[in-house]
Amino acid sequence: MLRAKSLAWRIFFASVILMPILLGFCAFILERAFRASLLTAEKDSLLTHTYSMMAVAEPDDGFLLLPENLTDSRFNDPNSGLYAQVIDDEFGPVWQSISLEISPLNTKIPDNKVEMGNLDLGTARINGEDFFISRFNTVWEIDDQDREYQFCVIHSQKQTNAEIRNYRTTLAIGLIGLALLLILIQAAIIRWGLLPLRRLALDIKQLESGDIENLDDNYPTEILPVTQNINHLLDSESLQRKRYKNTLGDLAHSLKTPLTVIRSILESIKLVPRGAADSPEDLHEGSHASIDEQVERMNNIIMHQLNRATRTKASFQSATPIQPIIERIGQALVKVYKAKNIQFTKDVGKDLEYPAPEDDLMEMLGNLMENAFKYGSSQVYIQASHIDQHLILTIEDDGPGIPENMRSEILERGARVDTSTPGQGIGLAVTTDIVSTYDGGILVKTSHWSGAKFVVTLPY
Amino acid sequence: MRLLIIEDEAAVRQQLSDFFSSLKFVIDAAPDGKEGSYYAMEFDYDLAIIDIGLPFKDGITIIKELRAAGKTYPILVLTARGSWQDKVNGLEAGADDYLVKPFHTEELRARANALIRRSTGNASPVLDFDPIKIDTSAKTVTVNNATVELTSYEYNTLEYLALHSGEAISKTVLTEHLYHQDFERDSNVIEVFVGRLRKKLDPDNTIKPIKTVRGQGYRFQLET
Repeated sequence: MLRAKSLAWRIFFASVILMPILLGFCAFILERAFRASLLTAEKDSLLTHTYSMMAVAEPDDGFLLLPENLTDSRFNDPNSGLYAQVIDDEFGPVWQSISLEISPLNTKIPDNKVEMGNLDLGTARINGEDFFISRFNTVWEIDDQDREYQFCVIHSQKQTNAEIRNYRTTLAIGLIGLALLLILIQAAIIRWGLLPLRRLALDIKQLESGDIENLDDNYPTEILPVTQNINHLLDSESLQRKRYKNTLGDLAHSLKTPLTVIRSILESIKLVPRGAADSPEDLHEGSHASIDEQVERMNNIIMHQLNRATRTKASFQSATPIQPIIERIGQALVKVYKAKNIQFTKDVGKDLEYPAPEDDLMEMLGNLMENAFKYGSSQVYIQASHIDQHLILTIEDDGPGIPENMRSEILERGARVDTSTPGQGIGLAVTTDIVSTYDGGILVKTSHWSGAKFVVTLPY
Repeated sequence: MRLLIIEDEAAVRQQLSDFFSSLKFVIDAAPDGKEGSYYAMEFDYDLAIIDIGLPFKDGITIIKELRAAGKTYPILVLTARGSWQDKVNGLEAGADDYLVKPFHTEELRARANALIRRSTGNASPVLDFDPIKIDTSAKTVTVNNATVELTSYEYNTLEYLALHSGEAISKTVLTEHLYHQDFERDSNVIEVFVGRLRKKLDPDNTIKPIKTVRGQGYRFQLET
């Protein structure tokens, strides 16, 4: 499903999943930090109250006495939510703030012994309300006697909780706002980031309609390889098209000559009156031979042009293994020339490869190997090796060989194929054509059986 | 000789049929892969000529199926494209030779004869059974170097028996491989031909090249 969606959708989908996680984590951290700071502030304020109580405490008659009214008026108002008491280790509460004295909480403050000299901050739930309770144990020397007192300040959490609630609301509104803003920004970034792709699509459409011939280089580096390859493809395609067009023209043109010859032969037959002095038999024989010659020529032309048109030296060509091709053609030819009982030997490296389409290599090798099987009397030897950045193919037979003065001529036949060479196969011409496509060379020599030896050199 | 031609081009098919008929071959011709495949599987031929590009079922597939079914008669493939890929594919599928279109019928005849000879284990076009020599390309027979005039039916009967020399060939097989289906399928005809052959080849009844195997048919046998 994801594959079918657009790129923009993918990026958007990923960020929409990621954003709540990130923002949620953020919210969690912020809330924790705010709570911690509130707690610290609370502790500080309770410690301050404790110290101010201690400051006004006076030992009197063996007890510690505090004034009834404390300076912070909240201690005198039962609804203020701030209470205090001093507890004697032995006799229990010896002093309570007015707020506590007249509050229903009065007797409900839980007892809790804490370590000396440290402010202990606890919480408790009394009558359905949450409170912070700070306790500070201290020793007071009264009448040469050490007495232990606990200064206890009780503060309602109502205010703190309200602050937290407030904070949360603000945080939520802020983060949701931020999320919306981020989504908008994200969408804008995606649009902007993918703009070159949209442009590419438009450009390609223009290519189709023929308004432009190539894609320009004005693309981001990530897309540049794509556009460059498209340009490459376009170039080779237009080259191919040009070649097809040329071939078609050549083909049509070169077929006209033999057709003209055939027509004139037909007309000359028609012109000879029945029972003419010329022997009709001879005329018939002669016309037959000429027409046959022209048909052969047309066939050669077609083969030649077809071969030229379909062959391209591609710019990206994967390597084709040589050995299987030689093996296959060899087996096939051994079968065809079974009656001759040809001894077929080969010396071809298993890993030998050449960057050309299999078809080309098959045509090239097939024609050379078939000649060897055809003209050889009992031996065919093929060798392939990689020497100095060249693929060297040697095909030898033990036939009559090719006379020296004929050697260049048989190789040049390819170039002259559409002019005239009746009765000759076009195989070698095709091979020569293919070899020259790959900037290679072909040589005719004498094999060590004094038969024919063809050496093909193809550069890597 | 019984020959199967599978070729979709009507003109080429007709031309091939006429040509091989004139050589006294018995022809079955099919215009497409389906019908051709049926014939090829159903009958035993001395040679099949199969075009690679065929409607319904291509030539390569037919050849593969034939070979898989254990049919061993020689097959010659015709290819219009003439690419080595086509040729090698055809030969790898099980064909024995190929010919690229357009071809000369003489070339086809030479290839066809060579294939039939090869399939019966005879490498040379001249079957030499001293004193009888049969030249399968010129279609002539000599006994002690004297030419013997034979009708084409007589020649074909002799050639078939000689190509399968040492084997007993039944009258039915001979009829199937030598005569058109519309020919009178009377085994007497074969007997007549064999009788005439014996008389022409061996008027003095000294060589006795064709033996009658009781209940099995005829056997051509001579020291080679």
